[in-house]
Amino acid sequence: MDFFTEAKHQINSGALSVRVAGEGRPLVHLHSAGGPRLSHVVRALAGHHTVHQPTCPGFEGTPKHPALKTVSDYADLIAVYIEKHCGGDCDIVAESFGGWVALWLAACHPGLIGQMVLEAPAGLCPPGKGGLPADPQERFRKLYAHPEKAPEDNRPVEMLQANGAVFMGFGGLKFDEELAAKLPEIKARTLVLIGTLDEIIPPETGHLLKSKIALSYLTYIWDAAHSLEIDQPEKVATIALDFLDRGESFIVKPGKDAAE
Amino acid sequence: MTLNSESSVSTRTTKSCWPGGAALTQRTKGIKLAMLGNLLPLLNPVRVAEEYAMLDVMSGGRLVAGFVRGIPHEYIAYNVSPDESRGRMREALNIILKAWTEPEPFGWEGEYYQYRAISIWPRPRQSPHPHIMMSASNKESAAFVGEFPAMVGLTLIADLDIAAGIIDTWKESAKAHGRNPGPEDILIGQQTCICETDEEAHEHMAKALAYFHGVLMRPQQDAQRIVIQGTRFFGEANAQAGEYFVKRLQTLKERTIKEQIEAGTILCGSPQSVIKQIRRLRDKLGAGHINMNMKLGTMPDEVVWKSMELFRDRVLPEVRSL
Repeated sequence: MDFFTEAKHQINSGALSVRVAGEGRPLVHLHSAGGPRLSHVVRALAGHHTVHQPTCPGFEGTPKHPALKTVSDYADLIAVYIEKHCGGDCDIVAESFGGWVALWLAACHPGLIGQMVLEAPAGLCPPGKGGLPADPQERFRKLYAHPEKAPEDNRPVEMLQANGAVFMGFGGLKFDEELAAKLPEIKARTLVLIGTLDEIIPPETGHLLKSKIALSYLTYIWDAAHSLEIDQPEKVATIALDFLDRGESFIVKPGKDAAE
Repeated sequence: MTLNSESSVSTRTTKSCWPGGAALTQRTKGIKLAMLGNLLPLLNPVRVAEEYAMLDVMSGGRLVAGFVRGIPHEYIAYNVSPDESRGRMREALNIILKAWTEPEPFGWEGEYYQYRAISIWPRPRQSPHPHIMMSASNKESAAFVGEFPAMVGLTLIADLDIAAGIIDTWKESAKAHGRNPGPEDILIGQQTCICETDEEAHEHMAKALAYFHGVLMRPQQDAQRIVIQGTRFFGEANAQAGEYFVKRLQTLKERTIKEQIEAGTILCGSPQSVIKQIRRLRDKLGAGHINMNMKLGTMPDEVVWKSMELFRDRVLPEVRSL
């Protein structure tokens, strides 16, 4: 885990494990259904921000919170954490399931979130589009366009299955109608990233978010499937940091590059 | 009706399809206008998407948008690494398809191209996008074309058997990507001369081809040799394709007119002879379109006009129903 430290915090419904590293404006990284990982992107973010990476209760063998029944409930828990440990104001970078959580967080707690980067966010997969295969091999194929980049995973199979079960307990890849209705309420400036080879979260999810969130941008990551941080770590880190650093000006190419 | 564009060559004076295409939209009413094509890896793909969308709107949805990788000497002219040609082509095509079809503005973070806000206006008239045509000169490029929702075009073919093999490879690739193309998706480009008699046509074609291969194409052949031996224009695993590419023009140059007709690489002769040659192209290659290049080398204008008139009056009525 190198420079990240891990702590347990008692928050409302129970304990929350959080890894923390870096200095700068607080940033919460919300993990995917695969569980938290210290990817190249997370480490790059920690070079510019104080990164907080909570583990959703029930993931990685942590105790479940009986009171957490919905993604909205988990978002409320993260909101409490942000108020207590991030000074009540942070940015968000979120992967897949984490993106679903981030959208609820931004919709219900707008004062806590500055900017968001959502990587292939779950929760808004239109019926008949995308989806997560049950077959492990097929699922692996759809997660990675470049499986050779996937880090070795030494976690027990039981832990991975438990992670998946928690995700399915939240509804899996359903279309969250209640969340969809709340999208226009999101005030945070939002960058949505979708892989050009993503067969799990389709482009239609990006279109929906782009059309419903007022201050939003949609960018396709070339040659990437669902696991953007693994397939194209440099591209994701570069655009995420540029967006977080320059806000709406990130659409303008900086002068020094233009002169090259 | 087709327009071609090539950079820094004396074989064609059209450097871009767009001005000529725009003019044709105002002078024609029903005919499809095929731009064959834009040198995609050498141009800004967003600009290409915009220009083609504009032409499609101006023509009322009659555009066939051609995309070509270009030939080796054009990579010298534009100072772009030939090694990047295939990667740029694949990525640029994907950007253009999204630019034509995305319902919302979008950004692109790619290997060769990065854009933060693409939103073209107007969108193309055809939905979901204009017809696309891409060229294939060997099996490797045929497999590549099959990845996309595109018609395939072959020109300067070495012979009908080789062309049939290229088309079969394209069909297999297209099927693997969920499409089942037909004759309407295949175009064969042929240098063409039609006169009242075979002898007259052969004589004009021989003179024109001698100038074409002996003078006009020589700088291109030199550039091809230099580029192909020093780069991965055809990819590391496909040296055979590069060798074929270089030998193809030499083979065509060394053949007599009768040998070229027999090989199926040109259309030449009386109207009756050309009708037979076109039927053979249809039978052997399943081609639904033939792109006839009638102004070739030093061929006199009056011969070109006569050739076009004979095609209109005596050939087209016989082959229209094929």
